[in-house]
Formats: sequence, C-alpha cells, structure tokens
Amino acid sequence: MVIITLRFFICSAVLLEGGITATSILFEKYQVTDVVYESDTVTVFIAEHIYMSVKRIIKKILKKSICRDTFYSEVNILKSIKNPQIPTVYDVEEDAFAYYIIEEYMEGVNLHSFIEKNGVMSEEEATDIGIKICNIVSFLHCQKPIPILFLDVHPKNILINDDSERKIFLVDFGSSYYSNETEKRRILMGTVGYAAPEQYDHGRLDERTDIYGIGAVLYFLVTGRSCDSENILSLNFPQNISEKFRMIIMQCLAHDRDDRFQRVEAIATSLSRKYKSDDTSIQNEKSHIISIAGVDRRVGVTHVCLAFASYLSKQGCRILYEEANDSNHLRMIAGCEKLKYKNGFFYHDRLTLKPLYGEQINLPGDSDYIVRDCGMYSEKINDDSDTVVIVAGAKAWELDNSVAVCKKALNAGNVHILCNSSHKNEALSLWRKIGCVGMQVPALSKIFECCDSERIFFDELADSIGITKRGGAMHKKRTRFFRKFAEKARRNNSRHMGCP
Amino acid sequence: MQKKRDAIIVGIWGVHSGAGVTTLAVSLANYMQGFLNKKTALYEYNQKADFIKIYECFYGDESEISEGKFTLKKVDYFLKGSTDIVKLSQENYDIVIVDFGYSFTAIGEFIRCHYKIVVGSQEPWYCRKYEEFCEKLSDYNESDLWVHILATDEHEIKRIRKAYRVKAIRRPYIDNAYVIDKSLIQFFSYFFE
Repeated sequence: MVIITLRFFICSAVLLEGGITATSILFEKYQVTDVVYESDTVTVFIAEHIYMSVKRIIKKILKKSICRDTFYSEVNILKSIKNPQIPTVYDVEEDAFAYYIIEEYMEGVNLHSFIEKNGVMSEEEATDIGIKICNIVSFLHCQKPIPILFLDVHPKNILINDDSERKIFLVDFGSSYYSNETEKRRILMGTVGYAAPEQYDHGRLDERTDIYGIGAVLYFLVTGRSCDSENILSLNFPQNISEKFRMIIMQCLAHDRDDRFQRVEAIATSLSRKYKSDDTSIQNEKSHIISIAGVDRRVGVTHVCLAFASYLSKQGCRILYEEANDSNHLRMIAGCEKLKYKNGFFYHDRLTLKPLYGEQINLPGDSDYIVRDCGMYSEKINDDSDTVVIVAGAKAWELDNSVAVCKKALNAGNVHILCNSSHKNEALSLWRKIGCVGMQVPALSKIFECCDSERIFFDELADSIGITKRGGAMHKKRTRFFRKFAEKARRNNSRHMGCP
Repeated sequence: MQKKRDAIIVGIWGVHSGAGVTTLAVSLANYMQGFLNKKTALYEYNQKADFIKIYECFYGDESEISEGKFTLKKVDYFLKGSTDIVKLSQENYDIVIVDFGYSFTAIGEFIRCHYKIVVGSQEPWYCRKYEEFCEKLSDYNESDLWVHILATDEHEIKRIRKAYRVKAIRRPYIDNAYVIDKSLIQFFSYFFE
C-alpha cells in the first residue's frame, strides 16, 4: 500500500514523548537540553555530551514508522559524505521503540523560521542563498560512484547561520536515496508545496527532482509562501523581483522534468549571471538536444551527425554540432577540411561545431538545435536529451547487438532508429526483431554536402523528429507518428521480452 | 627511442595576500586540461594549505589524501612537500602550474619557471607593495615570458606598462575557478596559444 507521508511541524519546548525530559540523560552520555522538532514519529533533541561538553543533535525515529533498512539507508548516506555544510553522523543507537541518530550540531535557524522572523528576502539575498543551496545539492549529485538525491529540499531542512557570511547547512536526510535506489522506496516522501510532481506517484526520480525543490525554496525566500504545484502558472511574485529571476524559478518548477534545468550547476550559473547581458546560459537550456549514438563503435555515427547537422544548418536553423565522445574525430576533420576556428568553436558555412572539452569548460553555443555526437549508446544519454537517435548495423554479426541496444533504448523513451545498412532485407530483419520500423540510412558521400537521395532521407528524419521546413526556416512541430510506433514497440517488447 | 620533453612550468606569484593567486592557478589548470587537453599538474608551493580545503569541499575527509596528491576534474593537485618542481617536470605532464603564494622567500624558484605570472592589485593599501616588488626585480630581464596580472583599471595598466616596462594586463573576474567560460578562455588564449 502506498501512502504519502506529509511533514507537520510542531515546535515544543517541553519533552513528553517516551519519558524523555529536558534533564534526561541518553545512552549514559548525552544530556538532553531542548527540543527543536517534534512530530508523531520523529523527535529531534539538542543534547550535550557530558564528558566532551559539545552539543549534538539526536534524532529519534519510532520503529513503528520506519523499517530498519530505511533507517540505516539514511545513516549510510550521511556517513559516506563529508562536507562542512552537512552534519556529520557520530553514532547510532536503538532501543525497543526507537532508532536514534547522533549528529553534529549545526548552529543556525531554519529558513522557514528565518523568513517568519525577518520577512522575505530581497532578490540579491535570495540569489546569494540560492547559489549556496545549489552548491551543496550539487555536491550530493556529484558523489562518486553513485550520486545522492536529497528529495526533500524545503526551508525547514535548510539552516542559515545568521552571521556576516550567511552560511547554509542542509539537514534531515530521511528522504534521501542513492540515485540508483529510488525505485526501492515504498513510501512517498516529500513536503507538500516543495515536492516535484513525480514524487506524488511512482515516477522515476533523478537530480531534476531536487531542482524542483530548489525552485520552490527560491520562491519561498522572496514571497514567504510555498508554491502549490497545481497553480504553477499563476504564481504571484512581488513587483520588485526581476523577470530573469522569475524565469529561473519558473524553469525549476516546470511540471515536465525535461523542461527544467538539467543540472543544479546550471541554476547556480544562471543566478550568478542574472545581471549580465549575456544570458546564453539560460538560452542554451532551451535548445532542443538531438543525441545520436551507435550500437557499437564504427557504425558511422559521426558521419550521420555531421551530415545531418550540416543539412539542418542549410535549411536556416541555428545548429550546433557537439562532440560528446573522446574519439577526437572533429579536430582531425577540422584539420583536413581546414575549418575556421574561433574562441573554442569550429565553423563551416552556417554550421557551428564544438569539439569535446573537459567538464569544467562552460561554452554554451547559441543555437536552436544541438546535434550531439555521443559515440556509443548508454542509457545516460536519455537523461538530458530531447530526442535520441540510434544508428544500428544489421549485418549478420551486428544484428544481435543492434537488437539488444535498440530494445534497451526504446524502453527509455522517444527514440528513433536508423539502420546503417544498404541492403533492404537486412534493414527489414532489424525492424522485425525490434518490433518497430525505423529508417534506412543511404550511403553518405561527403560530410558537409548532400546529394538528392541524402536530402530526401534527412527531410524524413527531420520530420520524424518534429523539425519541419516552413518558409526557409525550420520550426519544430509536434508529430505523433513515430511516437506511436515507439509506444507500440515498447508494448511489444514488454510482452515478448525474454522470448527466444 | 624518443626522449620525452620536460613539462612547461608556469609559476604564479602574488604581490600580497589575497591577490588571487590560487584562484588564478586553479582556473588556469582547468583551462589547460579542459580546453587544451594538456595533462596538467598543480603544485602548492606555499604554506596556506588551500588545496586541503579544496579536497574537503569536493571529497570530504582530508586524511584520505594519498601521498599528498589528489585528482579533481582530471587535474592532479600536489600538496606542499609531497614532491618538488624538478621531479614534477620530469613526470608525464605537459604543464606544471606552481602556486607560489605571496612569500618573497620563494622568489628564487619562481624566477626559474618558464612562464612567470605576477598577480597584484593597485588598491591604495596594496600599490606600495607592488612598487616595492617591481623595484626588487628591476635587475631581472623581463621578457614575454613575464606577465603582470593586476586588479585595476585600463588607465592604470597603461601607466604601469610605461613606468615599469612590464607586460601588464587587467585581471579578469573569476566567479568560479571550476567553470571556465568564454571570457576566461579568451583571456588565457591570449597568453598561452
């Protein structure tokens, strides 16, 4: 049975639960001094270590409300991360009725109390706090080997140290999960008004779920209100809040995860660049990303990418070809074709080409579409792409691998399959085995020029993705044609999976 | 068998505390590795121990640093005392960037670097330090391999170029040493390509 657990915050100065009072001593070493939070199932105390004279936070969770695995999941996450803005776990205890986590005491008040006491923040203050929150959440998302999702970003889980530095701390990891374990959750956790739409059902959770929470917190900081996810379009901002800041919040709060910022760092960059005239970092988030990947190496992905990108640029679109694999082919091609180079980009006619750079290089192009050459297919490609195109071989020795990769990709979402084989029968064999019809790639001649047969092929591909020619400039249009096929293939796959 | 070339050593030295030496060193390392794809080492040749704080910020407990070295975004960071400049230059790096901090005792090693970057500012409470530094180094033959990167306006930059006959340039604003944007790429490209 699935239930939604809502957090109701009641502060109390008198401890009555389980016989623990303000003078109680826990585990023979902690003297309880105060309560900071109390609900039906969780109580948080401030306690002082009798011998070391240091403050600690003791979080008591009743056993009837949580299973052992879930409790230790929070502990395991906290003990694996070390950050001055996240409390250190010192110990865990349990008795007949409850589990206890003993954590580092962080000086400060939660953002909710802070706003209640001091009033809403100015845009500058909210920007500063927002960037700090992004830095901590980004730290969690960058954990290796598996990113951590916080999944409950809201003002009562963020402490602010009200000195000149205004340090921020993130507390209460009770809803957190490793990103590959979110499907294990049995209870839906989150806080109404700050939880992303996908948290209200068994939708897949990822880093963008936390991005929604960050947007909701930013909204709270400048308005003093939480946002109801059903009324996103009618959020009321104070008049002194700039259009750019509103856009950042609205983008975080987009119902569809694909419309939100895709990385927490992008929010921080947008916030820090808010006052600069160059806002390509926000603009770039709106580019439609077409990721093209192969079932294996050497199936012709780079040739297809470059030819398609070149074709689109000649139709009047602003196209960026982005190399997202470590083959270094673009630089080699640039040398052979003597492409112009400026400020990190190569240029051929109207086409802009970006070679692979390190993750620290922030060089967004200004384009309507990004054709991303991903090399070999991996499931991560689906996460930040609007459209995925798979290039598959259909020769006898390639078929099994092609079928396996195509089926995996089709399960993930909006995917188009291209068969890089000149023989019609081989292509038909591939479509039969994967349960949907794709497109057969013609023999491509030159990288940056199209003959008639190639132009027909690229016209069809652009149309199937949803890019149609209109008056010389390409415009995206909705098409359900190929989505229906992909949906049918997914249903077929789920029925026939596992059959020889 | 082809003899391997020694790495190019880039030394960054600050005229005063807080000049921005570490920020510039880290940004330059990220530019070299991320944009130019050069195998890059960053060596902390000062007492400030900022690299330990960087490690704590990204990874956590500093006691887990192995042999005084860690890697972040494909740049190898070396703590003070874990190695020396000569040894680093002979390892398999294209570029070694040395963060000299602001202590004048390190000036001997700094002079020996292939590229020498001096970082300073012309704020009224620092400009005297910069003048003293220029006077102390007037005996050294400054060439294209010396660059003075100063936090001041263009008018002051022109005055310093004329007065001290040095290659001076305005220091860019670096809001995040781990995000190298177009303006920083243009700035570093000016010197290193």
